[in-house]
Order: sequence, then structure tokens, then C-alpha cells
Amino acid sequence: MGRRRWNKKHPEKAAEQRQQQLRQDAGDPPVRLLALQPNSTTVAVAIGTRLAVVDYKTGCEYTLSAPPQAGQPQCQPHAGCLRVLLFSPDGRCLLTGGDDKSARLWLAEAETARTSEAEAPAAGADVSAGSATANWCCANAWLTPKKMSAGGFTRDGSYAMFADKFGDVLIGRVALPAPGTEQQPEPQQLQLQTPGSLLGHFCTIVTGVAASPCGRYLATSDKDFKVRVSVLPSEPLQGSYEIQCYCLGHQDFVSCVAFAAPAVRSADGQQQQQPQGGAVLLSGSGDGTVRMWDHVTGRQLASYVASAPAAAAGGGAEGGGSGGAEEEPSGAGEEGEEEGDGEEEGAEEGPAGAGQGDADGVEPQRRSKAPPCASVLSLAVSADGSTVAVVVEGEDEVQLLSLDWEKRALTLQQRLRWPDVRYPCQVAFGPTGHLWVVGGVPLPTARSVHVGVAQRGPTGHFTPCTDEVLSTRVRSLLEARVEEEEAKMAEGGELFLYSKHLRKPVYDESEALTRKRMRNDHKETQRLAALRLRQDEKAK
Amino acid sequence: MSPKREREDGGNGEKPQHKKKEEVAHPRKRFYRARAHSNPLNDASFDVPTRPEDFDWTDHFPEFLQEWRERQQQQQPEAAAAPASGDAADGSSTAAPASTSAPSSSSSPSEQPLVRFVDIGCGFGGLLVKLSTIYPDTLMLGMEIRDKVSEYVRERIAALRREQPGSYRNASVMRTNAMKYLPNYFHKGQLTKMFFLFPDPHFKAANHRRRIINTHLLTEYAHLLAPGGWLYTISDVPELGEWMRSKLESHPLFERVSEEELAADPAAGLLALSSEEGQKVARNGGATFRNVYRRLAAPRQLQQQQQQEQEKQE
Repeated sequence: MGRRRWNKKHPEKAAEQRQQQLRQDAGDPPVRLLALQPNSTTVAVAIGTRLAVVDYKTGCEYTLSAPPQAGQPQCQPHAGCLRVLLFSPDGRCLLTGGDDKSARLWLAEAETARTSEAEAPAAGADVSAGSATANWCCANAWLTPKKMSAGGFTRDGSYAMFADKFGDVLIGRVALPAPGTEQQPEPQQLQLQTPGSLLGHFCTIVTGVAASPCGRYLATSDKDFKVRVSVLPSEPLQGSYEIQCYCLGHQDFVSCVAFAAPAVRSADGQQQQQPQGGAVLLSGSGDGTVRMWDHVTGRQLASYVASAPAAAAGGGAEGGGSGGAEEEPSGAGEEGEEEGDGEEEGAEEGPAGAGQGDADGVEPQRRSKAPPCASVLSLAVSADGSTVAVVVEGEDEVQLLSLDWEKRALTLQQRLRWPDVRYPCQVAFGPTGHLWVVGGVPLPTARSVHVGVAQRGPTGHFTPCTDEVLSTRVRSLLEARVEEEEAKMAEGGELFLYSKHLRKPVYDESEALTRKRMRNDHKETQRLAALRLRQDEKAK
Repeated sequence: MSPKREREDGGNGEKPQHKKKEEVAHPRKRFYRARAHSNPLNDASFDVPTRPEDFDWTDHFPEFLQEWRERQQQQQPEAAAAPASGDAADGSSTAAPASTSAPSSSSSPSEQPLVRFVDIGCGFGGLLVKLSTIYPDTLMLGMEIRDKVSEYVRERIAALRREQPGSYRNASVMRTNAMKYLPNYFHKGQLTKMFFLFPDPHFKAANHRRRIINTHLLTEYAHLLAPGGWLYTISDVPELGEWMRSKLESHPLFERVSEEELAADPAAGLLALSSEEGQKVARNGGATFRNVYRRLAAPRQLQQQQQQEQEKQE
């Protein structure tokens, strides 16, 4: 009997199975995103489908209105969870993209604020409090075949690149109207373009896309522990066909990449001697390390351990807060410590498996060689290349590392904690030198987002200064605090929710059996076995 | 069934005596049969080295590397290359020509010999075995994703190494997903030949991304192949042959090898008939479509090619 006919015949069972399917394919949890406009004081914060863009100095709030598609009015710029939020390097546009399989480019014109104020002071523009609202229109839109997972711009801002969960990095040309032209009324239907294909990792989630400062290379990181540096050709729409090198060394998925370039200071007309090699590539990973690479040769220059692996092999759960990815079956810890020395002789088969201990059964549970630990979620490099901010999943403190260009080393400079920001998720350095952070409770249904700002003092030490930078009104626009979520988290939420989808899922015995029970062929096998049993008994 | 029973009973002495089951030295293929398709997109748990430098090839080529190390030690105290026939543990006849020609092989005296030929999806190992005798100084590796089949090839090579000491030391097999993990095993520009014999056609359009020759993977293969290295493909499915040709043709780092060069190349002649799959195709009287391309040192201009094709059509 076919699936459709069976569903009609057994509606309750079908509904139950559909419920189970939905629970399993719930999709990734919403992330909190942060982007700062490079040449002005605008900040964009997003959680799920909610996006707030505010100029924190003037208090002007920008709304992103998408022209209605196919006659449907849209109140949110995106229908699905946002995964990518990024300003172009020249600050002219904002790239957003997410689970609704579309990437949009919004024209970030600061002048529109003034024009709208001048033209229509009565149209909701409250000039008295120094606040206004302005509209950013969508300049380009692309239809991506899969959900987006990462995005980037080329150094000159002429191309936008987006990557998806299947390993493809697509590229689209940024076509903005020239600055200063009169903003024309937007056509009703913005045509969704098809992006070109730039390069591809094979069937793996691409987690980061970064263009090198010299503009010749593109670094992409993926879930399969690799960081790849490709050569960006002069015609990127034709595709990137040459790989410069692979930066291999991480023991677990790579979650973020960023380039760091030393500041070129010209003191007294003399240009500061640039350290040998110029820019370096930084990457953060699920094995808890932040590594520095020479992107031209692929050599690892330095490694900083941001989070140590969980104590004691075969160790059990830590406090009630940890759950999910950290509570691996005890056998996995032992395996993790074994060095992979090319033992590929059917590792699932008997002889090798017995050597590794019988606790884990037949198949090795984790492919990564590192013992499970909190992963590095995000990193950001300051404009002068001297400081790197690192966010570790599950911790409230952001680690600030100083990058020593002479010795090519990363050392811990400070651990910074904001009093009102919990579970930071992403950091960014602003054009004014401030350090911004967004965070919030990592629940699958979370709607809250906390924002924090810190500034660097004369000694190089960072101190939180959120209240001085953000007025109450601006803060209320950006943030969303939901009290129940904090309570829910305290009860026992999953600490490592964000990185769960980047690790290979681990099923314990009962879950594996349940999954197997959903398969049809097993039922058939059982039916035939029962039938044969009956036939044998009848024959006796 | 009955003729076989008679043979096993050792019936009339006319038929030759078959060996007892335990004494058959070669692996019997029927115990290693597996279904033809294994999903390469599976996120399986292969034990993969983090970097090519971290991988120890001694398990795969023990005698070859042992000989090489002994040659290194001999060469260091003495300036001239010793005959090394005294070091060769077994089979001096085959070892001597190998050792005298080895110092002139591609690897420089101080570098450890590296794998140069790779057979992606080597199946039951037919091509590897033939290539191993034609190129005795080159290390070659077969990669197969199916567990049983790679076990079969391993047993086959072990049996051949025992039967003919000194030969087949340069071939080995590995069970891994070549579409994902090639950069973990090989350095940039390490390989000189890559073979893709009768790859899975994946007819459905939704599965085209699993085809082993597609634009993104060609970029990876170009990264691993040394400039001037050759990439061999052959298929019996016309649509797949056309697909592979068009993908290779539209990649700026690959250039088609002319038929004259192919005729002179020993490996190209083996493509159609050496592997078990190829023999099956020949038995069924199918046609094969061979596409061999060379990796260029610098990208070629694609627009000119497209213009030429358009002109040809007009």
C-alpha cells in the first residue's frame, strides 16, 4: 500500500508520524546576528525573523521594507529566520539572508533620512526627540536553492557571496544606484535573480566566507574541519577554479573565519614597516581553539586554546546546565584521545572495535578526534589588527586576545563580561573602536536578544559602556528581553544549541531503535519472519 | 549443482583436482559482493588524518618504504648509490632493476616517496593490479568507499605480494570517501595521474551533484594534480561521457589530451579492459567513452573556446 493511501486509511497514526517528523526536522535554532555599518553609527541586530536597524547616535530607526512579492504584503523583510547579516565594506548596503532561501541587498542610504525628514515631516517623523524613521529599499534580491548559512562581500564591495548548507558558495553582482541620485519609486516586483556559482565544498555546511584584504583570495570554512583558501579571479561570476591552499589542522568543525591585517601606520610621513607577510587568517572551531594561518601557504602559525575539553575521559555530565552535545556516551571520550594514525581497516569491524573498548558498540560515535568541548562561536578582529574578540559557546565572558604581529602569537589579554548580556553569540568591532556583542538565551524558541557595548580604555583594557553609548530608546528598539526565557534556561536548557547542527548527531540506543522502527523495510522483514514462522508451525 | 558436487567428491580423475577450501590463496569474490551504490553524501565516520603530513604510509607500503629508507642510509655515508641488492630481502631479480632505476625516479633522494597515482572508486582492483607492474617505482593508491570491496582489494594485493615477491609493493587500497577527504591525504600538486573508471552515473537530475566529475570537484582535483598531470575518465553511459567531457572542457585548468598522446600512453590503453567493470562492458558489447585531460599550469581562456564552438555550430 502506498504512503498516501495508508495515510488516508490511518489518519491518527499518520498525524502522529507527521508530528514526530516535524519535531525531528524542526530546523536550526534562531541565531542572533550583529552588523555595524563601517562608515557611520548604524547598528543592525537580528534574531529569528526580527531585524532592527538603528542609528544609535541620532536615534533614527531604519525600516527595511521589501516590495511585495506576488501581491503578498510583507511586514518582515524575510519570511524565514535570518542567518546572514552583513554590511558591505564600503557601507553602502546591507546583505541579509536566511531560511527563506532568498538573499537581499538593502540600500543603506543615510541621506534618505534627511530627505524623508525634509519632505514629509508629518509622516511619522518625530523630529523633536531627535528620532526619525527612514526606509531602506531592497536593491537586489537573489533566489538561493538552499538555505543560507554564511555570507560575505569581496573587498571592493562589488560582489556579494552567500553559502549554503550543501557546500555551494554562490555569487551575485552588487548593482546599486549611484550615490546621490534621486531615489526612484521602486518597481512593484523586484526581480529575484539567480546567483552564479563560485565554488563548492562537497556536501558540507559552509560556516564562514571571508575575502582577504588584498582582494585576491577568499577563505571559506566548513563543517568538515577544513578551511580552504581559493583564488578569486577577476571575473568571479565565472567561478573560482583555483584553490590556493587548504588550512588543515582543526580537530572539529570550523565555525568562523576572519582575516586580520596589521595597521599601516605612517608616522611622520614614514610608512611603518609592515611585518613579513601582511595579513593572516584566523579561524575558530568546535575543538575550542582559535588558529592563525598564513593563507598563502596554508601553514598554521599559532593556536590559542579558548576552551579546554571537558575533564576526564569517560567523564560524566557536568552540572545541570550542560546537556546535548557535551554529554557524549562514555566511550567517545576514550576514542577522542586516540590519535588517528591511518587506522582505516574497517574501523567498524570487529578487531579494531574491540581494541577501542566495547562501551561504544560497533561504530565510532564521533569522527572528530578532539574530546568534546565548548566551541568557539564567533570571532572579530579590531580594525587595527591588534585585538581579537572570541566568543565561546556557553560562557558569558568574551575573551579578548592580543595579536602580536612580530611573534605571530595570540595571547589572552582580558576576559570581558557584560552585566546584562548573557550567553553572547556574536561580537563585532565598530568603526569607532567600540566592541559590540549580542547574546541571549539559547533556546530553540528564543525571541530575546541582548546587546552590549564596550570601549577600550587608555591602557587597552575594555570596559562595558552600554548605557553611555545607547540611549534607553535606542536600546529598547534593538533589544528584546523575555523574562520567561531566562527562567526556562535556568531550569535546564541546552547550552550548546548553536553548534549542535554542526556536529554529527549522536543517538543513544533507544533513539536509534525508534528511528529504525520508523523505517518500512524492517516492518516488512518482521512481517515476513512472522509469516514464515506461522507457515512452519502449520507445516508441523 | 550436481557437477560441482561431483568435483568436490573428487569423482573421476579426468577433471583436475581443485584445492581444498582453506588452501585457496586468493580471496574469493563471492564473499565480498556488495551492492554497487554507496551514498557518498553520507556523513560517515571515516578515520581521516587532519593533514597529509600526519598520515603514516608505512601500513600501506611497508616493503617499498623500508627499501627506500635503507637506500637513504646507504647513500648518506657513501656518495655513490649502492646496488642495494644485498639489502633486498627477497627476489633479487626483480629488486635489482627497481633499485637501479629508483634513484632516477621522480622523488628526490631526500624526500620520502609519495603516492602519485590514484584510482578513485577502484572497485575490485583490476586497474591497480595492472598498473602496478607497468609502473613499479610509482606508489599508487586505490580509494573505495564500499567496505567489503576494499577488503577484497586489500586481500588481493596481499596475496599477489606473497606470490610474487618484489612485485606489487607499490599498490595499496584505502577505504574512504574520496569526494570529501582527498585534501586530507594528499598535498597540493602531489598526484600525477587520477583515474575515474566507470563512475556511477546518477541519472536523476537531483543526484547530479553526486557525480564524481563536476565543476567544483574538478577544482579540487586540479589542486591535487601537478601541472601536466593527467586525469583519466571512461564510461559506458553516453550521457555521462558527454557530461564529463563538457565539465572538463569548461574548466579553465584542464585541456584535452590528443589522441596521438593517448595512443602512446600505457595507462590509457588499460582503461577500457583492465577493471572488472570494463570487462563486463566488453562482454555485453557496450561502447566506451574515454575522456583524458591534462592539468594545465596556468588557466586557459575559456571564451575563445566557446566562440570556437559557436563558430563550429554556425
